[in-house]
Amino acid sequence: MSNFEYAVLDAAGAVIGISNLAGPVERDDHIPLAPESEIQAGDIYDRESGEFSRPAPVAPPAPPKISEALLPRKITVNAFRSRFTSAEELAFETALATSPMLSLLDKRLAALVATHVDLDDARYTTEAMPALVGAGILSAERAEQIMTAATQWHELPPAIQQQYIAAGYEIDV
Amino acid sequence: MELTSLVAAGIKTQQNGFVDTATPTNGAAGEDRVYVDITIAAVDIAKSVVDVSGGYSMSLRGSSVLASNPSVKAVTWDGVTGGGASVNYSLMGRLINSTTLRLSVYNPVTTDVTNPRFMARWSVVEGK
Repeated sequence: MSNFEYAVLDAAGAVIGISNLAGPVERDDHIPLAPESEIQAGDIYDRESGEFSRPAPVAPPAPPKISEALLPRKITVNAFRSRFTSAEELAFETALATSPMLSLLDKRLAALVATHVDLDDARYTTEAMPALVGAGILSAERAEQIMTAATQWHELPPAIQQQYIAAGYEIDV
Repeated sequence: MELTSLVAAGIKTQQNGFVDTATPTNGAAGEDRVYVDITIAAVDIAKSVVDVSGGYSMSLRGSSVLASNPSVKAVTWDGVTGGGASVNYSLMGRLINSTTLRLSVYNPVTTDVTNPRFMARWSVVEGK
């Protein structure tokens, strides 16, 4: 029933629609199409030549990447413990039995790290690590190393890993 | 015009088409906050019915816009900026005059939007 087919253009000359109308329309943004035309949305119309062209397909955007250097400073409790050497861990366990102050601090931090260790939590840098250094369990350099090491992907709590994966991040690790 | 009356009287004209654009017009808040006007050959509005199927979809950046749009569930977490969400709105269609079909979206999100796509197939049927 419709014999008047038009390509509808936007201001840039791109086809944004095809209209099959019951009568003629006179508009600069409506270009009459021949029967059986294969013009489609996204094609480009050149007003000088009167020809349509089809842009090359655009490759889908690459998934966003995140490197380990940008991972949040939140790691699992096991990951935190793994940053200590066996000798350091043994020294800590031994000290717990003889130092009420360290034992108290350990209990406080245990409540704090129910789900993960936040390496930016000031209680680690102002209380816990100085206490371990003061007790001779760690050197100041080792305390610094443990607290400032970049988060590794495998150290992240699973919930945070899943959030990155669900968002389509490509993990560059 | 009611469809039964149109069918009983017979069809005079049928017009249809397709629209796909990333740059719909922004209007005033309300029914025409975002819309696309389609030019058609003149019809008698009183004897015409409109059919539209399609939608207006987009992705949203970050959490700022989500905070001001409680209908959109935020997807954000510590350490990541740029987390977002995708939303899709239904389209409404009506003849605003004898030669213009307007496809519109009621108050969609309009800030921090990426990859907007307004896409629909439409038809206008005029009875005798």
